Amino acid sequence: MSVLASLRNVTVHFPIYSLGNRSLKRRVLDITTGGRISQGRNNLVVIEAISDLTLELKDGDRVGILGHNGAGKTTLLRVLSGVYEPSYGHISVYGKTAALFDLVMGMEGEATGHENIVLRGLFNGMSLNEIKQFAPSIAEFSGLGDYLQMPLRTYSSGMVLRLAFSIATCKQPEIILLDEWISTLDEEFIQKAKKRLSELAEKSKVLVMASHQIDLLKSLCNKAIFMEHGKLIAFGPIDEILAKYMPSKT
Amino acid sequence: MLAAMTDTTLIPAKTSPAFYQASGGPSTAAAQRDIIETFQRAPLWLTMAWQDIKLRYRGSVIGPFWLSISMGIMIVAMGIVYSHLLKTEAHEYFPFLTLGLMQWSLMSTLMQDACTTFAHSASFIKQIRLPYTTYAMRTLTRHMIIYAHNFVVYIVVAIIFGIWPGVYLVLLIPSLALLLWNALWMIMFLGMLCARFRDITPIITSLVQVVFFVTPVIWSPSLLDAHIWIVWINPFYHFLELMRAPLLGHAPSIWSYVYAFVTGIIGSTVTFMLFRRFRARIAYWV
Repeated sequence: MSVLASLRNVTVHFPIYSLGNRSLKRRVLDITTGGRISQGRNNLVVIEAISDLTLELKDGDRVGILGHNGAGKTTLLRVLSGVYEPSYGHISVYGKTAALFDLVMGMEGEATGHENIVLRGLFNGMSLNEIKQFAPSIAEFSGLGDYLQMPLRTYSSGMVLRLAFSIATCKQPEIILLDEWISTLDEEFIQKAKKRLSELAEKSKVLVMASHQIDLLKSLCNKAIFMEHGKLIAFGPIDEILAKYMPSKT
Repeated sequence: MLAAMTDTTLIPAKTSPAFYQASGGPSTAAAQRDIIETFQRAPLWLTMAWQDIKLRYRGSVIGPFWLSISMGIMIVAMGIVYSHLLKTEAHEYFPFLTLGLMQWSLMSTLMQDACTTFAHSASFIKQIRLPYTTYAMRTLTRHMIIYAHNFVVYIVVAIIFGIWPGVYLVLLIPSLALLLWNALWMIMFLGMLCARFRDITPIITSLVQVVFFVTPVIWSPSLLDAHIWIVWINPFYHFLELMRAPLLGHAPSIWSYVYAFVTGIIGSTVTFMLFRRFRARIAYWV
């Protein structure tokens, strides 16, 4: 079984800049007043969102991330997607990754549906040729028909999400990262979306998702990570992890 | 590629190709990859920049040409007053002023937008992994599109006053190359600096206003006589001259080319050093 992603001793520090730390004037004053510079530096509050995490994801892993709010679930997904690079440690990802976080990001209200397909496709790393090739199937799946000729601002939020979802899921990725199930879709579309996501998840090599919906995790995942205060407490078969760490929810 | 991978527990980072890898700390390779990837994905920032322009002038029939019109009005008004004040012939002063203001508006707005390049892209940076140079290229492209629209004003002025630069137009090629090169490192440099220290943006804004008065945009440097060194140490003057002189039909001083080239070398080296050190931290700053 091949390794799709490996994290070695990954630590993520979030510096919390207060106004003082952000100010060059403060920095300069610190230097001129002497001695205070070290104090100024120590005043920088650092949050350890992920600490010393080692993890290996192999072909076939469907991993649910469990943990309380602030346990580092979202940060771990952001590290896997490459948004946040580790402060210490190393990460290697060996597969095309689709990060389904904020699907609507980068879409332009003034541009038409068709233009947004191009725009969002480019964000997702598709080439112009690929976008051309996939555009008809995206349009069809979205079910928006002639609305695609209209500017996005005339759409309802459900329609925007439909289009965004269709673009984001038009290509089969090797690794899928999901932050909470996309639940704000309209009823009619949600069945279609669920079906496509399950299909994509099935054909993908690795799926990592964070969700509070235990039933959903159980239906999609075969493994689970339990996190607490940024630390990986346990990684193993989902049933075992649930029984051991979240007995109240099983 | 995946088939070539073995079942070993930890794959050595350097021997097998990864789609994405990162380690804590500075990385020259990652910084280089960032720049290369940006240019491989040119349609992305070209489209983003074009959308910026479209968004700004939505619902307007003549779109970005509003800028050209307002610049045209400013040139007429200032040209009449200052050609008298400075006792210069109108046919000499108007083209000089047009090119000066065009160039100045490019440089000053670019400086100010450079500061917010990363800070205003926070919603992207925190959601999707894109090469950071992409955001700089987006800013640069946006300003070059506006510059191209303003260029229409020059063409009109050139026709009215019968200016034809002829062969000197060729000199625009090295001038433009030097301008774009220096603009890119400056956007990256200020973008990083302002993302980290938020009070630099207002400093730059006020600085730009001051520089306008000491840069020969509306007055000719020859008026300074012996004090010409004031102009010579001003980097804005050299970039102004590199673009203005060829379009007026004469060659810029060779020293302006040298100045711009040396600035480019020093600026991009310093910026690259900062970028390789702090690239991975930008996401945490914005």
